[in-house]
Amino acid sequence: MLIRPDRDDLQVIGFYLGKVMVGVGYVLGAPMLVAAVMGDWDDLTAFLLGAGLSISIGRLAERRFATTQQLDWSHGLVTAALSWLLGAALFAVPLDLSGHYGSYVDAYFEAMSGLTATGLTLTQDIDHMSVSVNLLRHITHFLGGQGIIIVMLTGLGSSSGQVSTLYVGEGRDDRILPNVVRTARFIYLVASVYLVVGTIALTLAGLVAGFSPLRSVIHGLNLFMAAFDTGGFATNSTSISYYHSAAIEGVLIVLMVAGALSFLLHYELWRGRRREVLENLEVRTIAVTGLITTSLLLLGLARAGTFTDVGSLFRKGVFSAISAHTSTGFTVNASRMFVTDWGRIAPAALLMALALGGMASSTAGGVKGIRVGLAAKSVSRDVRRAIQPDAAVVAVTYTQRHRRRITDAPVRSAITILVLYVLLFLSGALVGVYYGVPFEQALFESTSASVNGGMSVGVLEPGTPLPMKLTYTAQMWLGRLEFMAVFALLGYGIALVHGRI
Amino acid sequence: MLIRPSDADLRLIAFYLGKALLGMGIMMVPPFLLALVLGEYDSATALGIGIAVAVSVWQFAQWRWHSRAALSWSHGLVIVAASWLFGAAIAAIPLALSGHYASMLDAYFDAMSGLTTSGLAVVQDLDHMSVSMNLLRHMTHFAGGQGIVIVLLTMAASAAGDVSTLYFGEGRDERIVPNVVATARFIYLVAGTWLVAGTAALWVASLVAGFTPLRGLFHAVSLFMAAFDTGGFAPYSPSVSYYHSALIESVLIVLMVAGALSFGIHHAMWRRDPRRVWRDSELRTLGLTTTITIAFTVLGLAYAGTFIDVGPLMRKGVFTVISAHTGTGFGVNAPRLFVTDWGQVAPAVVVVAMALGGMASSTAGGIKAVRVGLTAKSVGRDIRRATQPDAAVVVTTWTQRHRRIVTDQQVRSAVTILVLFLLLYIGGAVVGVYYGFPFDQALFESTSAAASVGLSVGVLGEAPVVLKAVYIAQMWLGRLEFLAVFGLVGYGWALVRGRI
Repeated sequence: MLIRPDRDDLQVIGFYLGKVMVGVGYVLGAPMLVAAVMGDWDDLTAFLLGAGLSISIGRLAERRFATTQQLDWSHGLVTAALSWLLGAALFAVPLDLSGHYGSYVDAYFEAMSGLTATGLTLTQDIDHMSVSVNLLRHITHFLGGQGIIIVMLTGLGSSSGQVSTLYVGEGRDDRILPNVVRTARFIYLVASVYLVVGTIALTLAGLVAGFSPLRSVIHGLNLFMAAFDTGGFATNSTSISYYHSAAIEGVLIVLMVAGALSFLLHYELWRGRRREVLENLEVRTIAVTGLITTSLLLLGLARAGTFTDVGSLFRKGVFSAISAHTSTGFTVNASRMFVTDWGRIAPAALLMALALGGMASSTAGGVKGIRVGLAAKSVSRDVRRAIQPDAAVVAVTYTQRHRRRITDAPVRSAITILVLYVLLFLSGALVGVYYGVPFEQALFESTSASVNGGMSVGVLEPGTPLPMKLTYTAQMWLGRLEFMAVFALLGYGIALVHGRI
Repeated sequence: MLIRPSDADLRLIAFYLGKALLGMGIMMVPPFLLALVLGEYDSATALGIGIAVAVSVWQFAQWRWHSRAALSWSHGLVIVAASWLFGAAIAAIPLALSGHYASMLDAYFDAMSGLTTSGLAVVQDLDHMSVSMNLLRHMTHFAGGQGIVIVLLTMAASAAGDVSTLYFGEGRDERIVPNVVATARFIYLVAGTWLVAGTAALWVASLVAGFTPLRGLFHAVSLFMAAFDTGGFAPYSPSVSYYHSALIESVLIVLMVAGALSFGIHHAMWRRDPRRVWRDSELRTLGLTTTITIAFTVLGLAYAGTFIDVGPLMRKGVFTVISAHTGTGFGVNAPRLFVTDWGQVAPAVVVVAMALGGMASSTAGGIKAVRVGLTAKSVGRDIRRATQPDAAVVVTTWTQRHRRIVTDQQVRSAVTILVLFLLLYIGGAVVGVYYGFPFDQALFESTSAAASVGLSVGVLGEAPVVLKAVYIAQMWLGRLEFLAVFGLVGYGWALVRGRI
């Protein structure tokens, strides 16, 4: 029996959505400040409008739906799914007003791509975008990467009991510390330490590469947010190849890998427990898949004869592989080169790396290491079961903080999500094929959107048909929330219509 | 700890393997007799050599490794996996001697394709093959198809408790008839009935199409075995389009669907229990996916403008999807037309249909409807779980004979095999891409091999040796649904690394 959500349910969802919207307004304050300092008056107006809209709607909702009710599991999921939709809609307002987008849909795409830390872009003439708007694009990465709701709500002083379900809704299910607020504080701590250190390193690298001090700080900050949150936007149309700097690429590799590590692992590293790093199932899985995809990629590049010398082959190959596997999406060559110059094997390896993705509870997207690892362990258990005498008890264990035995329930959910991702990749590719894109390119672009990767083979551009843009937007949203929250939203809709009281 | 198999284990396996290989010899007897009757003495010699090899291998195994020990589960797996490997080698002997194959590997390819009921073929100048040799090709479908059904049901019946639920989605009490011998007899009864009725129908249809009685009978028998065992070989190179007969195509559709139904459904129909048929969750899943894939294929064909009028569009579209979904692989147009004339959408949907496959414990290949259905049910449960109050208990049920609550264990095994199939499809496609084929064509061909279908877009015709070997491995893995192959590999591993 389906139970129809009542007035109280909708009230509590509306209340928390209001809070998130107010938060979006406050966040717009940062680029607003930059716009004021730099004298970009047009953009300042756009930010003011966006912030005004967000705060007024948000406050109205907060007042209208004021409640002290607790969020339960389904409320949390629905609120999470909706806040990503609404948050993107609000951030799209100043972006659209900046004049760099063909339509509001394009701006919405960009905001969703930013918030989901994807990095696919529809910006036109990005090389002449104002510093403040460009900063906003990268801030959406930071905000979305760290978990939009968790940032907003814990930042705005809600208690832990109220927001813990939202935390799960955003696809982060391991609680490192006893309660969500303390977990969130720890996340801030780690993120800010990386922020300071990473930005300084990138600024220095920028100075070495010959930037003026101010520009190198701007680029350093933007690059940091795009790399550590495995986003993939860049301040220039040529992405990382703009810099021609091995130092910058080196720092970015470190940051991308740091971004793809789970916060559990950051926590253990923080505490100085190196054993966890070596024994953790997810770390081991990613090490193996990373090695395989990188070597396949290098092999493919060598076979296709893309580069004449070994140095650039390794530099571009390894950087691209890491950028794809961490689902960041920085590129060191033009998009169409993947199709025209990379042969067939190397893009396929890149696609595999994209699909696999980083670690769960990180900003990386994709199927995630833990699911791949659990699936592999479960198969190995079946194989061992098959060859042992009928009476033998076969137990396979894995380590994640503790040594655990493989049981059916987590394996079931891991592989189910894995299958859903594969279906998402394929269905997006079919939409592309319908619009006349060759299958392999359509699959690449669709996978890149679904895993919040952001690499492109050039299928996506401002002239792409509208249904494809919408498909990619939906894929980014579904992929970031790992399906559950979106399913809950759908189910909620059905229950509203068909449910009984 | 890994235990090394002892000498007694190996003797036992070799002994039973010998028995299974004798089956290959028996399979060659009807074509051999036919060759004598028709005076095809070259073919008769080739078949005679094949029979001699099979019989001597069997006799040697009987004499050298005679054993009375009981088979355990892992022995069974190893024997099954090895039977298909070595059985194909023996069936390949007369094929290679027929002179229609460029190499021993090509003959082995066709033998494996026949025994796994795939239907991909690398035979040359098929249109001038002797009647008896052509019959042998179709006999491999029948032997392999009925063989795998018995193997699957026996494994489901005799497996250690958790393994059987793991890989069959249906527990031990799902045995159709209480013991293995009775089950096998029932299968012979059903297959025999279909053989008589199906061949008769096809014979009549071919007479209507204008065949002479004798040729009509030969085509009817061959087509029956290829259709009911969801194989896909055909007596002539243009496959079913050779006949230009709507009647033959309709009879084949019925036979293909019958072949893709599980023996549970056949049993229910035999017992005249329509409720059990109608309520069966796996059958409903199959019905749903078939409807969807047909609809999208027809849409895609209409969109691409492949056919000028609606009649041929529906006829060719529906036949092709059913041929793909049941894992048969009859074609009603030339392979390259999929690439040149079918547009982008319709072939993509055909790949999906092939990948999904028929029902478990049938001769169909692919992922199988039970796994697709269980996965969908489980996702549906998760969605309902997410929208209900925290304290609500949410369960989902699956009906196969009885209505039961879906457990995590069932779903885990279903999605595991599903993922392994996807990896197998994609893995083969990557090898194809490595040899320079476009990804979509390589994926089509790889899926066709791994799901035991047999439709081709022409990649196979130009495939280098390595790619052919990959397709052979895919047909083998896909047919045995991984487990038996894993058993064999694990056994080899244990032989080398295990302790006594």
